[in-house]
Order: sequence, then C-alpha cells, then structure tokens
Amino acid sequence: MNILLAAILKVIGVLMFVGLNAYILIWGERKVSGHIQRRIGPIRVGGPSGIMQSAADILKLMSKEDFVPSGADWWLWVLAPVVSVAPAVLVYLVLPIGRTLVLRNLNVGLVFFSSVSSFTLLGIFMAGWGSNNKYSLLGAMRAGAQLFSYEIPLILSTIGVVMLAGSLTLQRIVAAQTHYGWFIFPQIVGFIVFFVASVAELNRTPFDLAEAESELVAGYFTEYSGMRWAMFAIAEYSNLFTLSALGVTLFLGGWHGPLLPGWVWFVLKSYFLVFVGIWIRWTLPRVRIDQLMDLGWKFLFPVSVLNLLGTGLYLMVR
Amino acid sequence: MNFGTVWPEIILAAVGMALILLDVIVPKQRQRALGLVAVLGMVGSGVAAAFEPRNGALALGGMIILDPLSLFFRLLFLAGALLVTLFSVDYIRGKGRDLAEFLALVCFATTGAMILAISWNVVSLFVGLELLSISAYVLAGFLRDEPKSNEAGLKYFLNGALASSVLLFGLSLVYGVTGQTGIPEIAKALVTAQTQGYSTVALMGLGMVLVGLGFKIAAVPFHLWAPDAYEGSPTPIAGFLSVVAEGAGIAAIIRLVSVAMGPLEGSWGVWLGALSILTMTVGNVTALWQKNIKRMLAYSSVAQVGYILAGLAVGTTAGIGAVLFYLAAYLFMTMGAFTVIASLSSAGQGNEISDYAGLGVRSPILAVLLTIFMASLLGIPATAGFMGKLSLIGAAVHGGMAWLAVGIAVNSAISVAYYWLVARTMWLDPVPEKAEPIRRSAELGAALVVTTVGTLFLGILPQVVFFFANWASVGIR
Amino acid sequence: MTSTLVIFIVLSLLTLYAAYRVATAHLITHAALFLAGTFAGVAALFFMLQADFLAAVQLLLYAGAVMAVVVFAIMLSQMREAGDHVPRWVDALRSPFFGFLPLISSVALFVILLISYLDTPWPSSATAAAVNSTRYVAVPLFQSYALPFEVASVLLLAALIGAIVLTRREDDR
Repeated sequence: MNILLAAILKVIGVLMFVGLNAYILIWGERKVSGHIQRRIGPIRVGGPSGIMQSAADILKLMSKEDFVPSGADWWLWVLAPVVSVAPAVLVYLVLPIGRTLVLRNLNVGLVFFSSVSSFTLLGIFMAGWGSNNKYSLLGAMRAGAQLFSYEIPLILSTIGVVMLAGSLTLQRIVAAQTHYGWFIFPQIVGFIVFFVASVAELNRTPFDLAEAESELVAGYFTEYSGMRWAMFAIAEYSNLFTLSALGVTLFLGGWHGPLLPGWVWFVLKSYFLVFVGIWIRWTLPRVRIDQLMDLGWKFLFPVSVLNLLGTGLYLMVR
Repeated sequence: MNFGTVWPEIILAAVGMALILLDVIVPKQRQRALGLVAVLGMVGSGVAAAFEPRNGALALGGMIILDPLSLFFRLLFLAGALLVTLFSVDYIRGKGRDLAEFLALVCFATTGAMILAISWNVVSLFVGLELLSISAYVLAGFLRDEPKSNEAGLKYFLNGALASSVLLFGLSLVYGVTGQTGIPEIAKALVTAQTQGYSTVALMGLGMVLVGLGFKIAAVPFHLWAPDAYEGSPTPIAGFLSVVAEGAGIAAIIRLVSVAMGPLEGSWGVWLGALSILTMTVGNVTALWQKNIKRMLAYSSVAQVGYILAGLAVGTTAGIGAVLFYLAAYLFMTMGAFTVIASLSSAGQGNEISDYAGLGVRSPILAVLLTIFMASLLGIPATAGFMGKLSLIGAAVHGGMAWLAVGIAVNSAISVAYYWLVARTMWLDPVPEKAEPIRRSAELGAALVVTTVGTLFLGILPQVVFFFANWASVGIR
Repeated sequence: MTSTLVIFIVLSLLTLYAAYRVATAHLITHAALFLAGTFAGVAALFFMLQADFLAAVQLLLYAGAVMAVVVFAIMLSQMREAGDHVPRWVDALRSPFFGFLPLISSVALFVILLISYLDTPWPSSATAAAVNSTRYVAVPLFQSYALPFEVASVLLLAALIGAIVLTRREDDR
C-alpha cells in the first residue's frame, strides 16, 4: 500500500506544482511584459505587485458558461484539452530535480521526454478539428507543421549531449557535467539550436504563428473558453517550464551549484530560462511562415546535424 | 567493421546521390551526359564486383556472403540496370521528365537488388528487397502526367506493399521459432525445430515467405498486378521490372527457400513445381488474348517466371545452374524486346500490336531484331532462349521431375501463337498510310547491339555462361 | 490474479478496442486518432515487458512522427462526407467483396494462426530482462546489423526522392 500511497502523493505533488507554476508564470509574464513595455503591469487586484490578479482570473474562468460550439465533434472537442495537459504533466516523471530527487529515474529519460511531448500534436489536432471552425483548423495545421519541423532539430541538438554523457538517463547526464563542466560550453551550438527550437515548439513569439491574432483569432483554441481554455493555458505554461528545465538539465548543469540545495538551483535556473523566453517574446516581432520553415529546415536542421558530426569526430579522436 | 566488401553497392548508391546533385549543376541542355555518368558508375560497380573475393567468405558480421552466386547476381543486375539506363535516356527526356531523378532511382533500386542477392541474413535481405521495391514503385509511376503510369505505380505499390508485409510476417514466424536471422543458422535451427515439434509455425512461415516472394516475381495466382504495371510503366521500367525486380525475387527464393528453409519440408519441390506449371500455363494462355504488346510481354514474362520456377522446383545443382543461365538469357531477350518497343514509342508509335503493321518495310532492322528476341523468348534454336529451356528441361529430366519438362515443352508450343502474331503483323501486314521513318539515338543503338549480340551469343556459344552459372550454383548451401 | 495481469488485460483490451475502431470509425479523423491510441497501447505493453527503450521509440516514432504524417495527410486532403447512410453490419455482410468474403478469409487466417500458435511449444527466450535495454538494441544495431542500418538510410533517401518526384508541382522548378 505504501507504494500506492507514495504514487498518489507524487501525482498530487506534480499536479499542485503544475497549477502553481501556471499561476506564477501568468503573473510573471504580465509583470515582465509590463516592465519591458515601460508599464508596471497588474497592481490593483491585491497583494504585493498585483499577485492576486491570477486568482481573480481563475475565479472568472471558473464562473464562465461552459458551452460546446454547434457542429463540433463532441468527443474530440472535449478530450482535446485533456490530451494537451496529459503530456505536460507526464514529463515531470523524469525531470531530475535534485541529486536524488526524481520521480522515476527512467534509463531512457530523454527519449521518454521527447516521445511524450510528441503527443501535444494530437491534442492540437483534436482541438482544431473538433471545433468545426476554419480558424481553428488553420491554426492547428500551422501549429502541427511547426511542432513537426522543430521537433527534429530539438531532438538532434540533445543527442550531442547524450553522446558526451554516454547516457539517455537525465540523472546521469547531470552527473556527467561534474566531469565536463556544464555542457553549454562544449555544446554551445547544440544549446542555441535547442533554445530556438524550444521557443518554436512552445508556439511563442516570434514563432507564434499558430495563434497569430491578426490572422487566426486565437488559432486552434479559438472556440474554447472558461476552464477548457484554462487547461490549454496550463499546459502551455507547464510546457514552458518543463522545456526550460530540460534545457537546464542538459546544458546548464541541472541541480549543480554552490551553497544552496540542488533543487533550489534547478528551479532557479529553470525560471531563469523561462525569463529569457518571456524576454524574447516581448522583444522580437513575429516571423513570417516561410521564414519559420526556412529557419527550421534550412538552418537549424543542418546546423544540428553538423554539431552531431563534430561531436562524433571529437569523441573519435579523443 | 570493414565496408570494403560492399564496394559495388557503395559505388552505385553514391552515383545515385551524385546524380541528384549533378541535376542541379548541369544545365538542362546537357543533361544527356547524366546517362554517361550513370553508365560509368555501373561499369565501375561491376569492376569492383569482379575484384571482390568469391570464396564464400562471410563479411560484415555475417550479413553478406561473397560467393560465386553473389558475383553472378551482382553482374546480372548491373547489366540489366546498364541496359535500362542506355535506353531510358531518350525515352525519359522525350516524355519531358527529369532524367537525373529517374537514373538515381534506378541506381538505388539496383543497389537494393544487389544487397538482396548477396545477403546471408534475412534482415539485410529484406531491407535490400524493400530498397528495390520502393524505388521501383516510384519508377513505375514516374510518368505522372499519364493516367496509365499512375495506375501502374499505384497497383504495383499496393500489391508490393501487401507482398512485403506477408513476407515479413512469414519471416517473423520463422524468427519466432528459430530465434535466428542468419540464413545458415535458420537452416540449422529448423532441423532441430522439426524434431521438437515447432514445425507447424515454421511451415506457415515458409508458406508466407513463398506467397510474398510469389507476389514479387508475379507467379500465378499472385500475378494480377503485372500486366497493368508493365503496360503503364515507362517502357524501360517494364524491362527493369521483368529483369532486375524478378531476378531479385528469384535470388531471394534461392537464398531463403532453397537454402534457409530447404531442410524443413522434403516435398516443397513438388509444390513449387505445381506453382511453376500453373504460372507458365496461365501466363501463356492469357498472353494469347492480348492486344497491347507490353501487356503481352507482361504475360509472357509471367510464363518465363514459370519456366524459371521449374528449375528451382528441381532444386538440384543442375537445376539452379539452369535457372541462372535462363536469367542471363532472359536479361538479353526481354531487354532487347523492350528496347525495340521503347525506340518505336520514342518515335511516336503506339504500343498496340496492330501498330506494328508493316514494320518490316518501315524499319527492317528493328523488325529483324524484334523477331530475333521473340524467337528467343519462344525458344527457337540458335538463340539464348533455346539453350535456356534446353538446360531447364535437361535438369528437370535428370532431377526426376520429367512432368515439369513436359510442362515446359507444351507451354512453349502454346506460346508460338502469340509470338507468331507479332511477327506476322510486322512482316506480312500492309504498311499503314503516313508511316514515319524511325530514327535511333546512339544510346538506343548501343542497347540494341548489346542485347542482340547477347541473345545470339548465348544461343550459339553458351559454354562460358553455362560454366559461370554452374560454378555459381555449386556452393549455394 | 496479480496486479500486473490486471493491468495487462486492461491495456490489451484498450489496444484491441482502439485497433477495432481504426477499421470501423466512420470519420477518417477518428480512425487516425484511434490509430494513435493503438500505438500508445502497444507502447504501454512494451513498457510492461521492460523494453523501455523500445516503448519510448514506439511512442516517438509511431504515436509522434507517423501520426503527424497521417494527420497532415488528412488535413491536406479534400474531405468529402461519406454520406449519412451507414449500412448496418448485417446488410453489409451480404456484399461479397466488402462483406462476407473478407470476413471469412480473415477469420480463417485468425483460426489457422491461433491453432498453429497453440500447437507450437515455443522456445523460451534465454535472455533475462535486460538491465539496460538501450544497450541491447544499440549494440547489434550498430555492429552486426550495421549493413541493413545503412541500407535503410539509402531506402529513406530513395523514398524521399520518390515522394518529391511524384508530388512536386511543375511550376516550382
């Protein structure tokens, strides 16, 4: 029974963190964007610096009418937010939060991470198709093309790290960085590809064509509102955190760091990468779709393959 | 890991990739030269093949075997690809399609066929077969502005994909029983499996492998895709399918069925013999009704597969040797026939048999050549086909399956009718109005010379190839 | 009945149901999603067999990449309603080529396979559960099976070229 209890506690812990993370990030994004635009962001709702703004939003979202658009494919429409949230939650399973703190030290952790996140596409497709709305479908199509195009450089850029560390286990990859130093130094090319590709994977500006307001209203979740919409938002912010955490694990030494306990370093570094992501979002304008595809296929993809080649040559001559 | 033992395949695949790059560099008007590049690559690959060891050594972790049979099939497929290249340069350019991609796919397909033929492990064998098949599907549908070609590509693809999956299912059953992927290990494990009672599943595996390969070589009753695929494909590809793709299927049968699963079932030779008789009879009888010369040749090649299967059914060294000799003869005569058809259709003539009326007057040389090829396919003395059938019949009689010899003889008699129809149309029917003279390019001329010389040489002086074929068939186990 | 067995039965039933619905769904989108479910179910079964690398790759390649291709094929193709008339299966059985002949042949195949599987005393696998399943896949793949691996890459190149040859628009040149 103890195992079952532990499992339940872990699930509850992850879910609480996912919720809390979305809460903090939505507030943080508003504050950061405000300051970048020389505003001060939300202050009025209560608490220091308007920290209660997100709570008010939650109340609003929960009290909204739950409706299904006419002509929607009911099952797909209802399941889409769930299918989007599930992979976002599942990937916490393998994140090495501290030296011994990991929910399941899977020996194919990295592959598990990528394979579970590839399910996101299905959620997007279900939402776009199920909504019976042309903006949704077009948005889903763009999001899908983007996910698909950037998944390849994203995975390829992580393989350089795997080759250096000699393991797919995330915990071992972090441990290997005591010998090598942080992998961002030998794998700087890989890190750049990884970071650009992960911004694109997250559908955030400058790659947010899937929900380009001026063309597509809100992309694949145009028809969603209330808590169903909130689930998409939670998944989005959860993915933002987990991808940043993966970047920290692979390139920035994971839980390594002086003085403070490992998990604090891990969370701090992850939130730093998240901050960089938000910073980019509010600094750069949106790219065109052809630029997006060119960047993915004609730049990031060859560069990440060359990076792999270089890493392989290094390992051969070493 | 020493990849030096697969130089022929490496060269050919590299030439295929180089062609794609050259396509971008070479200006449109000079793309004819790409044919030369492909030909040089194939010759280079052949030279490399000649220098490989042929003592039965295993290489690349037991994946491939370098025995005389490997050498034979490598050279056979390269010769087929070379002829296809020679007579496709004009044809493809005349149809307004991109030559480089076509030739690259021919190179890849031939690489696949060669990998298959030298495989000593079912994994590399299957991968080679798939490389061959997937390239061939595309090649069959290459003329995508022509509905017939689309139909050919699609039908070939659907049937081929089904065949591949059945074959793979069979192989997985065999793997499940034996736990081995190496061909000799499978043979050994099947002997023990028989004593321990695993043989029901192994037999089903063998059956599925046979069905899958039967699809690939268009044996009856799995031949229904062949006429459509041959008729709609670009004519050079019809030749490629009948020579290289079917030759590869035969190679797979020799390796998989004769060697790996041979010990499983003593009587499978009889079943293969029945399949052989069925195939040749259905092929020949259906060919009688055809109006389109490519369809006719498709059924004719189904019949030829029947003859070849007879040699495999006999299963003796002489039988396999006869099969190999027949494949060599078949290469020249079938390629020759398709080359004549391609030259005529490049000149704007249709593919109906009635379009051949008066060819003897309009283009006596082509008519004489086509007559020679038809005579060889029929098995008239002094042609390659005659020696091929003779050796098959001889092997069948000596191997104690005289009924197969009778089947071949009876079927040859049936096939007189449709080959005669073509000859009569060419020589005796009146010349139609406004018939244009037919010009030939250098490449087509070369292909015609090679196929004619080959057909006659194998018919008059068969000893060299006979020796080679028998040498190759001795050490297959 | 152990908990492993219960989980196995539940997973297999889900996988089988999804596979059944792939064939019977009226909308191709639903069929595609059930296909994803089937892949995921198979991956879960691999996990239960402790082949975790295989399971993760199954998810990544089938549920991820293959499904992406399928989804794109669906979104890029012109959809037509199949019509509201969906024949009851009793009626459908009357048609020879779409009804009873395929049914009979598939049931026959199933029965034959089942009988021969049950008839065969399968050789038991000698290897115990792999500690590091990645290594067990990688070492043969890159050492003894290096040739098929390389040939497979040529195969993918050929398929890529073929797809472009067959679908490229002429005015793109």
